[in-house]
Amino acid sequence: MTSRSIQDLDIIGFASVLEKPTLPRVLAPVFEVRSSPGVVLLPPLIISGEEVFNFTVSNHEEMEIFVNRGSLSRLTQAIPAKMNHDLWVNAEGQVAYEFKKTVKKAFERLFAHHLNLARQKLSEEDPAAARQHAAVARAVNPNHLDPLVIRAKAELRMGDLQGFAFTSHIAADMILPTEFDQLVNGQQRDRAGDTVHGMDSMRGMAALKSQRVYFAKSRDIAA
Amino acid sequence: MPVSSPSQLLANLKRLSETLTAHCECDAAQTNAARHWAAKMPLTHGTSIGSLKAILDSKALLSQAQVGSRAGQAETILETRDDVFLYLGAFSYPNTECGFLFVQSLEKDHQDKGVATPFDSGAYGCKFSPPGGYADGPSFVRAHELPIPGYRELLRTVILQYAPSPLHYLRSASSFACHCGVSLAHPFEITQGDDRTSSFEVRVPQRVALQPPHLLAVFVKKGYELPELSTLFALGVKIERYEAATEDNSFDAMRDSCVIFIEEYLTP
Repeated sequence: MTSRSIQDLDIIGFASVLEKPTLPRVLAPVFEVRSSPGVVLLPPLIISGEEVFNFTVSNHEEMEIFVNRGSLSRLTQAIPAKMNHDLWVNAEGQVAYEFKKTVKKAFERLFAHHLNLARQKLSEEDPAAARQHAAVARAVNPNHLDPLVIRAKAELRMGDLQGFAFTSHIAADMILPTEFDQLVNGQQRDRAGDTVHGMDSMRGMAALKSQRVYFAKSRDIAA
Repeated sequence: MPVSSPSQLLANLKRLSETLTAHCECDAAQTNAARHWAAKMPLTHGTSIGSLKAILDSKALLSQAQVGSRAGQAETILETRDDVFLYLGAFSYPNTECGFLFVQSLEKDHQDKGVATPFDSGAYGCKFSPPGGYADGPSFVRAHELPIPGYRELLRTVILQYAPSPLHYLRSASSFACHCGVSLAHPFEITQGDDRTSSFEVRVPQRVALQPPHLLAVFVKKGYELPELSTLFALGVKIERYEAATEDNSFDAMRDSCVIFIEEYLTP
């Protein structure tokens, strides 16, 4: 398997285009080989320590095709690649290249900040803004239920039943549909308490987990 | 588009079909399986998270010309700027994060105007040299343009004679081998490239509507399920969510998810 040292690479783009408003995310880097200008390495790829593997070797002409087709973006200035770093974009569409630990902490801060904003906007009767902030929170932590609960509440207040049905479907990974419905509608009835309490949202997850264990055991028994 | 005339497309199909030869005899079960998979193989179109909202808002996949984006070198050379690109089987266009899966009935709406090639045409606009005997990339592409859905006859032959099984073809279209296990060269003498140079491409002029019954599923990364997807969800389109271990290879995760989906869809 061919590999390249990360010390010999510059980041010249990433495998995405940025929308407005932006959902924060880590971006897959597009590299150029410093010692061989014009040699471009495209994702999907694997970065392991100092080495980069499994890339597709390309050139600037093909990169232009991908840019025009809306799957790649160019950076205005090349960034020297480093170990243990991630290229990422925040909710304002600003791209940065930082230590993985720094990015992880930034995501935790973004989650808390946008979840609070979502709650605040919901209490201010601005469900569209609440849904957008909940989307940002979910993008940086898709395993937490609260952004989906707020999104569902916002959609109900907007009269978007189609959206609510879809959000309930997404939440079914984490909670039983009936429990999710109770969680959202219960809080919908109690607008004074717009905060999604941890215990409430965890209750459904526990129920789902116990059901999964039950089904798993049933399968084992059947087998 | 297409640049090739209907009679040229049919002549290409006849010529290319005649060039393919079986390494071993195939039995009735193998023949039937290849026929089924070739007839029903879905089409996919990958895109980025950042483009998804605009695509959903427009309710269609639009060509670069329709969107108004700048013409790329390959599209200009090949005169494909006003085409929407789809690929047979799982997502094979790298650098994409989400995508659409259409059933083969889509082609009935575009059979008079669409065109197929047994590889990614864009690769021959600027990246790869064509196999010997062709003056340049465009002439190689034109000589391999095929009618839709007639190209599926050629696909059937490729699956039957150049893949150990239909599932092997779906998982790795570029690993050409007979069902007896012997490795084979690319059926169209291509020696460079990745999965794209082994995936059939279908080009449809201008736009492809995003609606059932042709649109079967949308693949999106967990956490990025845009509210705009709810309209398609309400219409019965499956919203398939995948998880990636790292962002650097989320395409692989999406592709794996798509392979499993198609396998389940095509397995009787």
